[in-house]
Amino acid sequence: MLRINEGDYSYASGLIRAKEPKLLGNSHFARMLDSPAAEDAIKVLTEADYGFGGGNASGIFAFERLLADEMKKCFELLLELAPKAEVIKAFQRRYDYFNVKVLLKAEFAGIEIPPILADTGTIAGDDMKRMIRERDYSEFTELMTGAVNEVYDVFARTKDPQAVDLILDKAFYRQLTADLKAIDSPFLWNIAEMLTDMTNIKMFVRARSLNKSWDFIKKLLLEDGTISEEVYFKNSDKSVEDFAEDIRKSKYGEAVKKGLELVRSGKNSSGLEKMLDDLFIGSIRSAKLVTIGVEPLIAYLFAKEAEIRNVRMIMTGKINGLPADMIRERLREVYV
Amino acid sequence: MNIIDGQLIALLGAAIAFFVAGIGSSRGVGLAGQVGAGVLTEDPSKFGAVMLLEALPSTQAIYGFVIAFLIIGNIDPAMSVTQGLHLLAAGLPIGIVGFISAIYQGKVAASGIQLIAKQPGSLGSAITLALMVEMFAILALIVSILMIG
Repeated sequence: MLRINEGDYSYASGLIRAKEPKLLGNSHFARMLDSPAAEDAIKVLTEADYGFGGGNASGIFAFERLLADEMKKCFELLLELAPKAEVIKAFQRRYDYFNVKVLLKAEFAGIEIPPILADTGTIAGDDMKRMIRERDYSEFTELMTGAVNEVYDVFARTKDPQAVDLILDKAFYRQLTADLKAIDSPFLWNIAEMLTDMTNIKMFVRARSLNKSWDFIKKLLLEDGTISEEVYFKNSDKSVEDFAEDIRKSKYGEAVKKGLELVRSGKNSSGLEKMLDDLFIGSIRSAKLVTIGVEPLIAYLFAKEAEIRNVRMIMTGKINGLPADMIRERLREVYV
Repeated sequence: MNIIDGQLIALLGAAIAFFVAGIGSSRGVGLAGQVGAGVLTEDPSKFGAVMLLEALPSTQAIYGFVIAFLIIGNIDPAMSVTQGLHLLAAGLPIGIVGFISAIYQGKVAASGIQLIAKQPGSLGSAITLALMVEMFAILALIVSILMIG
């Protein structure tokens, strides 16, 4: 068990607290929404020191680069601050798994052009390319090596490209849970549980609305959630409302019910995702009560992720000319 | 000749009063200082407020110093063991209460520094909260003074 010595986090906690007021709030989002064109919306980001500067943010489609840079900047800051990098790396592995997925899919499809990789993982994109090409897994975690081998094995037999997503997504959540449970922090354990449960709930509701069978759901279901497999099995031939009723007493009950109502009323097709994301950010807010520790750092990471998700929603909405109200309804709650 | 006489015991009292309270203050100020340095990295304009809050847990060491000074002033080479023990006992309140209150005051000060990092207008509240802890150190100081007599 990796012990967290709170005293090591005093400087880091102070710095993060001073950074929090600089996170984008609802007034920034409102300004972006009210700006006449996407180019003007980007100005709010450059004013907020997004990315690494350097003025390469011109042109409306450059914003994706800007957002990727901002996430990278956030990870660099946290890695510098955290006395134990393992705490931050646990969250960076998401991008390792993403890169492996992209590379394996490209390989199976016989695509020669190097795909665009995320720059925020524990292994740099170019290194990852080489490692997959040369089958060199020495820097991979045990779980990741196992998952990559399984993908090759299953793909060789089934030629099913979906297997790549299925195996690596499941492996990622197993990795996240294993990484976070190895750190002595109930705050991090709660994050692992909530992310797993929320992924299961979203997957289940989507699968039910597509009328998928239990066999299909069972394949996608993650093991480490707090809602047991039995609950999903029992509801696998019932309506999603019955499922919502069954998990009423869990901490997701209220959010799922409200989310499904939003979807049914036609107001917001991604209402469930929004309500669950808001619930998650709400539980992360408990970090505000912690003066010194790992909590402020991790909360900042998720606050940044939520902020970037909102900015991406606004920018794509603006570029596609969606009405401001429609975008506003889809925005997630912010941490601050 | 007996090594442990009244004078040595009284000196131990002075040592406890200053050392223990001093260690507490060092830890409290140290903690607030680390958090303060973090805030200043991001926002150097807050130096004045950060310094003010950081300095609050140092008072316990000053109280310990005062008591140590008073004990030393009362030492008489011919004093009995009982008289020495009286002075030793007088050093304990400020030593122990000073130690603990300085650490907790440091924590409140560190939180206060984070508070003014987010809301610059809250310096008054941050100081008031930290001063609440100060009261216990002041009471300990008074008790120590009364015990010296």
